[in-house]
Amino acid sequence: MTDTPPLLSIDNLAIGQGDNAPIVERIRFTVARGETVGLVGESGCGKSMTALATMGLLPGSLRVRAGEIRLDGAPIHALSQRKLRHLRGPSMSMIYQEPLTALNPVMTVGAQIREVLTTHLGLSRAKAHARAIELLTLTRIPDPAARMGQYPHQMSGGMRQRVVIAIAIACQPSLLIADEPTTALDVTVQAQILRLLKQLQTEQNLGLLLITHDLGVVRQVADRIVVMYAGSVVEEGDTDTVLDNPAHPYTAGLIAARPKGSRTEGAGRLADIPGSVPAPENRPTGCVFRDRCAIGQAICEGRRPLLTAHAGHSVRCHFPLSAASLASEVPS
Amino acid sequence: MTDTGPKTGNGTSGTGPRTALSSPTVRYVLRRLLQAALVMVLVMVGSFLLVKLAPGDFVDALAGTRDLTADQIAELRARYGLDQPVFVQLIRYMSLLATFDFGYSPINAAPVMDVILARLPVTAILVVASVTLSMVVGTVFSVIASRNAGRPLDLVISIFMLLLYATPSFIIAVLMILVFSVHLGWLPIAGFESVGMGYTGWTRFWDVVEHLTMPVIALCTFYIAIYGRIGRASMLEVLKLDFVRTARGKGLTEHRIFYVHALRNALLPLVTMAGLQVSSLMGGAVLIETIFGLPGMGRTAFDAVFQRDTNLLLGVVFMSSLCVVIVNYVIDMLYMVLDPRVNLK
Repeated sequence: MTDTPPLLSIDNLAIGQGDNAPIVERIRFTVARGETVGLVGESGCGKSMTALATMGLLPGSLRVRAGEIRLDGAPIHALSQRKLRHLRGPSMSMIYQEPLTALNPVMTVGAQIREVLTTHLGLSRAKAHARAIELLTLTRIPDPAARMGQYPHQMSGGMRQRVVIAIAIACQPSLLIADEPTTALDVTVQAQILRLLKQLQTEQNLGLLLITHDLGVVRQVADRIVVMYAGSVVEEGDTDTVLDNPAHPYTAGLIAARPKGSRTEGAGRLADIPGSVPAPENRPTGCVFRDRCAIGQAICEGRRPLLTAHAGHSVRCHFPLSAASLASEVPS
Repeated sequence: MTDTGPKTGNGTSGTGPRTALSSPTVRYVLRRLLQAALVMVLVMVGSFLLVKLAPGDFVDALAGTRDLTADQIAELRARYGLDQPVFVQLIRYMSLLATFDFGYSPINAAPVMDVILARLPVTAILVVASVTLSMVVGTVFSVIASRNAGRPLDLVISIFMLLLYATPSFIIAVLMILVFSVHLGWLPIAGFESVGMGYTGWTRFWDVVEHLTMPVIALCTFYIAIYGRIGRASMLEVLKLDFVRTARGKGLTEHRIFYVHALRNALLPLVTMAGLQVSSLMGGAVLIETIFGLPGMGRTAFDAVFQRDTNLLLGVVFMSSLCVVIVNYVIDMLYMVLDPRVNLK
């Protein structure tokens, strides 16, 4: 590592409600400036909660129970809402899954972009208006000046997400968290939004944390990948390394469960991982994946594996797969 | 590389020449007017038949208070058309109504229109003042309660709202009279204004304000509780929505999130409630009008029922219904201003 701390570093993070079983625990990863990190996993594995914890936006009575979150080296997980407020927007911001509900239905799009600029940059109304049009232009929304006076319901899903992106990049944050930004959109629009995010990331040297369950999306845009399962990080490394040589049986299962591009290649049914993600209070002892794992053994029940280096990346498994064993374990 | 266009455009006109009738706004207004007229006709026919179902007419009521000969009774009935079959009476009444002729009020010895025009302002002032006051006070309570949700202050307000909700308005009215008029002597006991003082201008205004303070408060208490409770629930609901999280994620101040983002969305159900409040107060303030001796619409209707003054009763019904129809229209318009998603259909 270099002398400068990574842009975002999450270490040993646990999130939970009161004394209940933690929703996520021992989460550890970093995002560097100008880097795109893909955070993947099935629904319910704690991806979004990790993101919301970073923003200080955990819902209800969920709290950070252990570990730390650092932004530019400074711990932010224990900051008051008052202090966090000044980081949200200028230092970090977030793009949400459902752009319709993420925008206020009774305010114009222009007003919703302007208020970020007036709040954090102290711009006058007129200057904020001009800057908001520039931001909308950056997101390649058609006819940006006319959009300013429109309400979210008058726009298509893709345009709404462009507005959410414009709001997120308004104060040129160094960290951008995108929580399933394309899930609610049409396939054709998905590709446009991803391209836009990737381009903004390169232009503004953003650290981008992209949360998704779509491995295809990760392959397209992420430099590194963090795979989460049942509240833990199970594998982490360069995108190509992990996707080409998955070492954790869960990652291998996720890859095998993807529909193939052509019909001839896959030949037949999609592979699936038996069972489903257990709720936090039902997680097994030892390795959290053991009751869905094809290669689990006695030690997996007794001892929780550590995140250890393996074949150029990290994996949390007692029996990491090698390229050779993968060929025999996972039908392709 | 462009997204699909807006799903719902504004003012996107169809093909063909644009005439006044093809404008959606004009068509909307016309349709609403037609609906209103239909509602009014149905209300009037229904009310007329209901009144006629009740035994006795105003001649019977009159005969109960003074000695009338059988000839005089027959003559009175003939003069007011009360000897005709109900169906004929209905046709006659409705055709007169179509020319905005409400007929004659025998008990007031004056045209119904004059009686109503003299009393409508009393009720109008009562209703407007009560709706405004209860909405403002109720909203303030709901804002304080939801900002402090789960804290002791929220509980105190909740209990206070429940008290206002559960106490009948006439009890509050009588208690206020006892305290503020009888013991303290601050406010007049009854009436709309001081009679025979010849006040004009601001002096008259403040005189009316003094007289109406207690009736307006009595009419408000129940609705303050309603607004307070609905507003608090609505506010807490809205604060859970995604766009509030977005607003927080934008680093806005809590003040702005609360008052700019959440409050406007949370007010929508209160506006609906205000429409209902106007409707029920228009003719439903009988008790309070009676306690405070106010010559309003409720009292007028009440007297008309007991003295079998059909024309006056129907006139009050007509005016109240008209007000309700108009208020509903205004509420719909207000909704469109407050919530841009609501559109002219």
